[in-house]
Amino acid sequence: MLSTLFSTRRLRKAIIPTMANVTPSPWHLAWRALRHNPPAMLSLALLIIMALWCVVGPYWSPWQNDATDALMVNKAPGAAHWLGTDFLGRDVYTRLLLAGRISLMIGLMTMLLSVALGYLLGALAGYRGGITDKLLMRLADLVMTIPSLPLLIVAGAMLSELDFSAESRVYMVVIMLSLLEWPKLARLVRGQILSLRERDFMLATQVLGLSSRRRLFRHLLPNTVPLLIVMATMAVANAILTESALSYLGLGVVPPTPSWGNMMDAANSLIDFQRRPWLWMPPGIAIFLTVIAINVLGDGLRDALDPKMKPGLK
Amino acid sequence: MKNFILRRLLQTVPMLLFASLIIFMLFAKTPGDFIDGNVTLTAARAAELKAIYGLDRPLLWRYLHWLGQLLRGDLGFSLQYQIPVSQLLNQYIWNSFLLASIALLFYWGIGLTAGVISAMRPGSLFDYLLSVVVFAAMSFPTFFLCLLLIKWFAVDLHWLPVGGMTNTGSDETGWAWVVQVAAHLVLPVLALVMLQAGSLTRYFRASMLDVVKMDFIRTARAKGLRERTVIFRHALRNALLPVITLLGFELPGLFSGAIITEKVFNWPGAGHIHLDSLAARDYPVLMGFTLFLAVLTILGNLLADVLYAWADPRIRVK
Repeated sequence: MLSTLFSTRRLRKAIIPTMANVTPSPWHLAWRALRHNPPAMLSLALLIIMALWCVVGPYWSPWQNDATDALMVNKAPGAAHWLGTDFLGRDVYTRLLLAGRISLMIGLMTMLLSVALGYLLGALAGYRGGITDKLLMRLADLVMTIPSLPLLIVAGAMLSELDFSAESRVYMVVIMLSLLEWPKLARLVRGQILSLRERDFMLATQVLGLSSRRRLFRHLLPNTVPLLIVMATMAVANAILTESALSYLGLGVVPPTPSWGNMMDAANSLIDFQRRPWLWMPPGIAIFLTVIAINVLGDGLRDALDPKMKPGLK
Repeated sequence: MKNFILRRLLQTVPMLLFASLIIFMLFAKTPGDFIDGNVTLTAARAAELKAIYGLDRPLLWRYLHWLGQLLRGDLGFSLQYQIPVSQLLNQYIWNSFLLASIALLFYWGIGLTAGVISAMRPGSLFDYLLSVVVFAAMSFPTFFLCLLLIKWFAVDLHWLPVGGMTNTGSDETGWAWVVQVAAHLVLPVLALVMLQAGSLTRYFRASMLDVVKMDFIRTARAKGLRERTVIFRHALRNALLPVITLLGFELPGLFSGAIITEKVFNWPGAGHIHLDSLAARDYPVLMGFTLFLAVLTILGNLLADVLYAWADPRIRVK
């Protein structure tokens, strides 16, 4: 008893680190909240499995990338070809995985590019204010004024005319999608920054006399990260959906590069559509599963990172 | 209020000018045109045609000429159909409007009802099931949903026509025509409703939940009002305020034609014409139509702002 009284200093030294472990960081709290959200965890697992499957699967497939087989044309699913073959005798299952690589990659790359662009410009507009803000927001309005699908369709047609190689089309699609996606993200980030700027903790940093760089990078921007993560997740789903629509119309990723969208082009031929659902059903289901998983995960992330962001649920 | 509208109207002028410039440059810079696409023409004849349509003039001249025409209400002349663009649009836009407006009625009705019911009991089984349906609806690629509907209801079950607006070669009039068009409308409307109702339901639910938390609702309950009165007389009216803005954003969609839905269902609407003109490189149609949509989008935003300011006086003060 007496000894504990005398050794308070040592005791405190011992307790403080453990206290730090007991009080979890916001990231820890968010992860804990996400872990207790079964639909979101299920979605995360599904996405990881799908991505791994698409990357690794083709190596284990007995069928080559673009190996055609004139004797095995338009075969229904069976033991040899799990999802059947297409009009060139290519294995649909292998192509589905390869297309998954492309579609997921386009989703991720578009997310990276559009979020980088939108975040940078939105933060700039929100933080600098004044003429920068006015110009950037007018630009964003302008891009949003022109209907996006028609614009994408024209841009896609332009790409076809310019004779890009099939591989570089993938990157062009990413750039096209990003250029149309950033204004929405920029507006969100700007709004967030504007509201954060007025909060008391930002006033406190000013009172403390912190440098503007430190205020921006240590205090203002880190608070936008939760929004950024949620936005980025939803952006992937959006990009995958738009890419598939564009490729379905033959204006996005073009054959021989497979993508989930252009595989569904098979449905444009009446006989394939009616008699050979194995050609166009699997990619459609793959897109659907991916997008719904991303949406559910995004929703879970929003709840986990900042319950206040979800309107109406507190 | 008058000042507010006037100020917003003035802001739209530079927006429209810039939008027209972007749209013009986009199509002018796209390699290949309607005349290049026709391989049967000799070089001399092609040059002659280009001179007729003014395609050999400098870009700036063409832009100003186009703008001048627009100011006089002339959208241009379709190369493919050989009729004025405005006449062409007038032929097809109303089909799009028919499809989109019927779908709009349904998905607003469904979104409103489902959103309010699930907000009344958040966390209930209905709320949970609804959120599953909403997520599924939001995640369907448009064309895949359309294809599935055709496959099941038209091809396999033979309940409904596969596509188009009337049966091939039919010349029905009057009531028989209405019935036929209605049968052709069912699937595209269903597809549009399924795709749109999801996010709208989420929006209504969130808006309703925000309002239900407010003090005046607690006051209303404390006064001993019936729950039905609290929800429908007090909460719903306020929850509808932010939703009014959405109605303004629907404006361009009513005329633009759901491009993919119209293509898959072969619906003779504006979206269909859009893809058709693109294949034929009929740029005057595309330019006119895209600009028309940009104007509608700007008007829709304006309408949304004005509606909101009208419904919520707090906005006007800002």
